[in-house]
Amino acid sequence: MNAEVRSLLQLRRIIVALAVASLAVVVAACGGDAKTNGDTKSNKPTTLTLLSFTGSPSDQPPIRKFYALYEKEHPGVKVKITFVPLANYAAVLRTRLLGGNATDVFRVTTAHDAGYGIWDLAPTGKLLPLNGQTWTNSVPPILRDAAGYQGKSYAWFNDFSGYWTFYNTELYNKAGVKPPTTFSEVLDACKTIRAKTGKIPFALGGGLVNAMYMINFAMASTTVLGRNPNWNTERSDGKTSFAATPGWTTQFKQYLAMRDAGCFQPNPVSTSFPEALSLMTSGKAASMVIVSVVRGALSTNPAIKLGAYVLPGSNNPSETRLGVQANDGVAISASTKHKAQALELLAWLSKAETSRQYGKITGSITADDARNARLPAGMEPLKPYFGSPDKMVLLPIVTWPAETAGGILGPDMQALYLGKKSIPQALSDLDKSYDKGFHG
Amino acid sequence: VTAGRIATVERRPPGRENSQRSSSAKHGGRAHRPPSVPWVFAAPALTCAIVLYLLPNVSALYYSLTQWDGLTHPSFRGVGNFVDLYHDDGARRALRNTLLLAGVFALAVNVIGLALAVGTHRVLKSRNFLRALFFAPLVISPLAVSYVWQYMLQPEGPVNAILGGIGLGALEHPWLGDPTTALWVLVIPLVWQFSGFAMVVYLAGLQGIPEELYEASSVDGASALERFRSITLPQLAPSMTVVVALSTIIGLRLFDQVLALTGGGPANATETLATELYQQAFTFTRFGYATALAVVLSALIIAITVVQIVVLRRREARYA
Repeated sequence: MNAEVRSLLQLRRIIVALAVASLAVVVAACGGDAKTNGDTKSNKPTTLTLLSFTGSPSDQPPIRKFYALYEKEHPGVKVKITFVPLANYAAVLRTRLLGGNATDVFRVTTAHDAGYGIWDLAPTGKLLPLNGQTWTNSVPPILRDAAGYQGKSYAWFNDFSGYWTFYNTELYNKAGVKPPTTFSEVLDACKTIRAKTGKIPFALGGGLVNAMYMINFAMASTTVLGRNPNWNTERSDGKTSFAATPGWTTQFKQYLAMRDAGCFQPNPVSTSFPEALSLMTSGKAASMVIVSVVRGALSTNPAIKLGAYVLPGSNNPSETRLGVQANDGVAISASTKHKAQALELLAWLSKAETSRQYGKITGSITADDARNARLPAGMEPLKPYFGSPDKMVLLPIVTWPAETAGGILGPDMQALYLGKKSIPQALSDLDKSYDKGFHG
Repeated sequence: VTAGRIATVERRPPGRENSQRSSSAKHGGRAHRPPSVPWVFAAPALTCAIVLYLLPNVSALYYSLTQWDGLTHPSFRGVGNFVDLYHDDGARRALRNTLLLAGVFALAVNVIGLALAVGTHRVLKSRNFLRALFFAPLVISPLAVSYVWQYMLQPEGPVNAILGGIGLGALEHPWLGDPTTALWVLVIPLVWQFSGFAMVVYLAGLQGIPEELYEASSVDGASALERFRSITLPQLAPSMTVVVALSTIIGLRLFDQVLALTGGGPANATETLATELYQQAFTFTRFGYATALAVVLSALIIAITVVQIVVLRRREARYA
């Protein structure tokens, strides 16, 4: 046999071997799919996949720890969590939904929220309707409209949150300042904290537009919705506008008054959100208005004892309202192959004991806490609001088009703060954006 | 020394081109025609180009005429997105920022890249080290570079600390937090990173310039500046075409660096067309509108690049 023939035979053997290997891979892949994706009765544990957003690395371990409890109670099920940075979450979730490879369950928020709110996703048919599940009645009444869509339930919400003020109790005591109950007291507190402790009264991560507008929503809950609880509906129906509502002008003026009273650190518009958090955790700032689910990230320094209060938007304490929403919703993909296990997971989440564990591990206030006005240590000043539903309003942001909040209000507040825009201009921008709505 | 005189110095052996032409003519022009490549060889690459490049672009044209949330079926709305875009203050601001950034970036990269190339082309002991040093930023991830610069430009960051340390505290500034400075400051890291690329292209061009040209001009008494203006610049025309076109394209489609450094802020002052379309698509789920923005951005890049190449090629021809 000459060398040419030998090499040809060798080449043929290689091709045959490659073909056999490819066939084996294809067969194995097809076989594996049937076993792992179906609701089979095999002994192999079912893996439920969960897509979650993450604001900072510190909020991942508590979530893993929480779902490990479920795995412990359900030995046949594993919960595989994929974390995606908050800024990319909507893009990743929606791409996976469109591509037909969504995780079995994934995190959602109330109403509209940059593409991953219930009102954004339910109309697309990508969420599994949950009607008939008795635990859906446990959703707090104030959240029910925003947690469902056209009378149907689509998610369980682990938390009950809002934009309120977390403060360093030691620094407030050192300055002799009590949690303010009127807006004038807020301005006085800023001056006193600066003078007596030299610390920053309020940390503001205004480099992130979503952080810039937290104060707006915290106070507009009082200045706008406190005076007209139906304002959002009226705005949606075109019966009112931002420019025609004095409460918005008042709120913007209050923001600027806080700036002029030295409430914030220098250059808050160039301060990133993590930097603002570190001002709090390092004890350089005395307080921060923030979405309450971030409490865990603020509690990383055990030396700092945190308290909480509602940022008052009025000089009459009885007018103050607490704006609430829910951030940690869990919905089921309509195309999941593990429907039964996913429903079982949500039923487990809705149990009072699970809710207590969730609150303990993540530091969040849960729906169960809200129903029973049961609050963690330091959160007592919030109790009157939780005990009295008419003192709570649904945060305006959850029903707005995402562009109006993130695309207009945040950047306009930055411009307003820097003196690059006037209040009438900002209000006009908001009206234009709101009227444009969800087109395109 | 003029370009006309320089052209008299032949770079190609005379007569060779003519002899080839006469040879082709003798054989009726058929003998030397390269054999045609069978379509089957080109098919894989062509298929990839059609499926991965042409079809997405054609489908983008369709989506730009629709209202689409990225999940449900798109509904046709004609040129509505383009009309909205025309009236959108945010889009107009993004377009203005994009053109400004691209223009300043392309100019700065070319000037600095050329200066670095001329500097390191000289017979210096350390020239190879310097070339590597200037080129190094290009091999680092643009995102990593942007995060480092973001840290340096923070109000409490090293740049302000250095200014304060050398007694220039009055110049300390929230560089990326002030809408009036943010856009211009954004150019600094970009130029720092990409000047090395321009330097390499210009160096290649410089190495192709025959030494005889400089010797002849020196004999004629030309100064260094005259030699640069009349020999170096004209001879670098092809390199300039490449660098100007590429740096303009990079400048027009800036995205990751802007997102990492400023996120388009403060107060949307550094929003570019690329960041605006990302925000419209993935934050506000207005995919139809975002695709219209993408179409405009693509058209802009094509138009500007074509004009640039035509103008620069004419310039090349003038000096050839």
